[in-house]
Amino acid sequence: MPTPDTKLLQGTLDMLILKALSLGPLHGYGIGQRIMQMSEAVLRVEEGSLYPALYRIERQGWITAEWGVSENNLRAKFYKLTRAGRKQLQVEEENWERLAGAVFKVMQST
Amino acid sequence: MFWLRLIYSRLYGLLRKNRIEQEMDDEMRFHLLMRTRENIERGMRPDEAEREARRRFGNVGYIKDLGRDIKGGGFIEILLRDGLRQSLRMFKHEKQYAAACIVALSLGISASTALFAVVYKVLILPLPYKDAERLVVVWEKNIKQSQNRVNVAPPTFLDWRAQQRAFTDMAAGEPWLATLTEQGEPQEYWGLSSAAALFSLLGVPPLLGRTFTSSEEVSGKDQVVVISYDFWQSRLGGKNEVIGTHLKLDGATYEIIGVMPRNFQFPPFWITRTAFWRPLVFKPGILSNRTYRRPRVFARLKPDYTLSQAQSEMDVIARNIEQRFPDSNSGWGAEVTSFSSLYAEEFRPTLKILFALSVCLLLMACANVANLLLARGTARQKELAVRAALGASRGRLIGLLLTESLLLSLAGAVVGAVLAFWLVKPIVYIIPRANPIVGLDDLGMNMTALMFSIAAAVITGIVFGMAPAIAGSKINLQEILQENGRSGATGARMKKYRMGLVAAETALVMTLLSISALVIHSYWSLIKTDLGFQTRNILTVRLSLNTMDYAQPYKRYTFYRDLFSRIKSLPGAVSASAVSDLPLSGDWFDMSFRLEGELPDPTRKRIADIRIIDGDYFKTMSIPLREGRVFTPQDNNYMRGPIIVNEALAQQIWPNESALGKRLVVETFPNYPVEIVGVVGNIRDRGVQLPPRPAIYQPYPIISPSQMSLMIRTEQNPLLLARAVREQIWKIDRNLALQDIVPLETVAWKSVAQPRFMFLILVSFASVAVALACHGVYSVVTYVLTERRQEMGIRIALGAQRNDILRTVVKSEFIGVILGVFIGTVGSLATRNLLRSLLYQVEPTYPPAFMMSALLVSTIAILGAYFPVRRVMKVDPLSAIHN
Repeated sequence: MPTPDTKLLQGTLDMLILKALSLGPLHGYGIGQRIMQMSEAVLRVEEGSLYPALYRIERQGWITAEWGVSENNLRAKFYKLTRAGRKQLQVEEENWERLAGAVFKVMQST
Repeated sequence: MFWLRLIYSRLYGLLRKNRIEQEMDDEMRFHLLMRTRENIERGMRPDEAEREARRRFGNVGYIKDLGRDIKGGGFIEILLRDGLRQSLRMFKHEKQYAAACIVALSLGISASTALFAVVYKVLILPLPYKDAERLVVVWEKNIKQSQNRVNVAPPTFLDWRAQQRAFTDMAAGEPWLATLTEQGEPQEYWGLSSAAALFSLLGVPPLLGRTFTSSEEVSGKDQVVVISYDFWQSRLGGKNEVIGTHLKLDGATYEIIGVMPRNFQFPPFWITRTAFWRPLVFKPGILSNRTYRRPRVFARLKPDYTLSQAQSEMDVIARNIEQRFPDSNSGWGAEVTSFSSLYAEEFRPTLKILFALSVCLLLMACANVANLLLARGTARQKELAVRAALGASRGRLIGLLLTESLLLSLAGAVVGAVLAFWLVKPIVYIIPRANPIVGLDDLGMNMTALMFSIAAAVITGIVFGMAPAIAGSKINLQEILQENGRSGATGARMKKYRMGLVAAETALVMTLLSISALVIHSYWSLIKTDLGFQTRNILTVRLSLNTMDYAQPYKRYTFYRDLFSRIKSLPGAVSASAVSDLPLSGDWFDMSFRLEGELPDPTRKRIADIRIIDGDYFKTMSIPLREGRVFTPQDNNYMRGPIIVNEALAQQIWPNESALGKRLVVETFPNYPVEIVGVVGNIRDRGVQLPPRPAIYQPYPIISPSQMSLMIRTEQNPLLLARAVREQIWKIDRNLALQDIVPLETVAWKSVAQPRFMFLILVSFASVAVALACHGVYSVVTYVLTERRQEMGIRIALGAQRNDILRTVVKSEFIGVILGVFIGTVGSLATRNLLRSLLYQVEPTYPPAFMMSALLVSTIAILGAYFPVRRVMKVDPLSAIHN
């Protein structure tokens, strides 16, 4: 696949996961898919980073996991945003906007 | 709160290990399945689709590793599972390395654990009495005659007891050697005649029955005994009905009134293995005799008194008595000594030295393992770098390396503890025969000693594993992965650490070697010592004629006449004799004497060993007669008999003339001078290491101790005659106890048991230390060379000579060695006061011992460095540079 890997800024993956989950519970595979869809196939999340990130966020208490049945009737683990997770997402979104705006300004000025 | 949750989740993770593992597996399998389906939908072949899914997913194991780290367990988990698994895998591949570590550690741990078991028993555990630290012995002492720790004359004791306020109570005790008859074979046992107050003083109640009371300390009522647990078990079958039954001791009947508990033993020094305690009754004559210094006085300090307060109070009381009875007590004072300082007194220096040396050995082993870990750390830096590159955190690498060293040291501890089981027994034999230590017979490995070995292992594992682990984990990825070798671990700090290790190891081996050299030298001098008599082919039998049948001296005399003629008629017997103190057994007896016409001078006493002999003693022992004659049977008929002296006495008093015909006044017969009829050679019969002193031999019946040792010269192995001799004795009297029938060679062998075992243990310590040192130096140099392999290759390629290389490599090592030799010398000199008492004919500062050791240490250092360097020299420079 010729898509060049777009490297994610440190910490952005967590935010993207939270964002993806803010639309409803998903399993790990689904999270990867949703981020890809939302970024219009620019961002491809590596499994090697996705799962550790999920476990990390889960331990922070921002998401919880429970076993359920997937759309094609397979047993899958679904992650769901918690109240704390929702708040965290808000904080990170604000931070991100500030950061992105700042980076944008820097890049524009020459 | 956060911490609580963290701990909870980690413990939870640890316990629910399998569930988490399972869930991660399931989750990832689901992911792969979804991807595969998607790929199929895109038109791939199923097998291709799955392969692609896997490829894309990456390393499942690695992701799970990270997951495990995050999900729970964390550090604990790393140690318990990953580290363990990886370490075990590593040991499997690096058998030699693991074995080297484990052997080194187990040697160190076994030696120190075995010695710790003894140290714990002898130096740490309190004696089995109530508040044992407040128990003391009170002695008489005479500073002018430099007589310390003398037993106390009964009237003096009674005065002390009446006047003192420092002690809750005082009790006297006298040894009692009792022959038990009418209970199978007659046998001798040690007992103690003691005051009734003794038992309350010690605060130990009897197991059965009662102890005696002061109302029984009267002649006529005193035939009651309290027996020891061991005697009760071994001779009386441990039956409860023994109370009220009777024992025949020394021909008299004693009622058993009590049994002491199992761990009770009193006294813990002086006479150990006491089987009986009976009331002490002072005979009327003795109660006014202030020079009859036989009973020993035990006391308990009052809670508000210290030892020195009690001492000063006793000083006042003693001065009082001195003034009232100047004739007998002029110059005599009192001395208070604690029980704990008397217990195992002679053994303490040996024990302390051996324990210190065993710890040296343990530390050496640790230094070696640290070296090995360091060397391995270098060798596997790439492996660690790869782990780090894959995301293993520094903590995780440290954890892994620490687990390795912990595992190694625990394995060492297990092997060491097993070895220690075997080592404890021989160590117990080091204890001097003459002064057995109570409670050491059944000494074995105990829980405390095992705890010690485990603690030693854990501490060494962590302390010595930490530095290599930190160094190994401090990884500069770029440098290492760029293949140019020189790594983050080669900082100046590591260099210092390594030099420190070399210095420490050298210091330890230097200490061990120089002390061993001293002890070995001392032992050689000891066994080469000329005793002055022959120990070969002599059978010895201890005999005591202490029953009522032998109350009159002439009966004992007749007994020996009868016995000697019987023995001489035995085939294989050459000559028969008897002596009051068995040579080299640790028993001896001395008395004061003066020249005829000399006035008694209490400040300047002449002291001589007194030996009572009967039969052909000098012939039996091959002691040369220098002048005059030996005793004849006629001498025995004189009332006071003539005497024979040794050369030491003759030369001390009459250096320029013959001693023959001169007359001495011996304390035994203060009013009758006795004539010297012969002079014999000096012998070392008090102990091999004790130089001969002036000695006086007196013929038997004139002074006739009830205890004698039979000495029989035989043609062949003396034990062949043992049975016949026993039969002959029992033909005369079936009730005689025959305790030890042993060849004199055995007695002599046992008398040097302590120096011999010290020698054997130190020889083995020293060999292990040398082996460890060789190994240690070798691995350090190998380590340095591995680390600087490329540099060496370049140097060789540029034409460097072997010597240059050697110099570069070993320079810092040699600074360490020199430093170590110096520290080690100081270290062993620091023990000189402890050591002096253990050495014979050699000073603890004897320079050759130190020079030899320094030489050996340097040789080890040179050889240990030479071989790895030579190996490197043979390496092709090109490959070294490339690799």
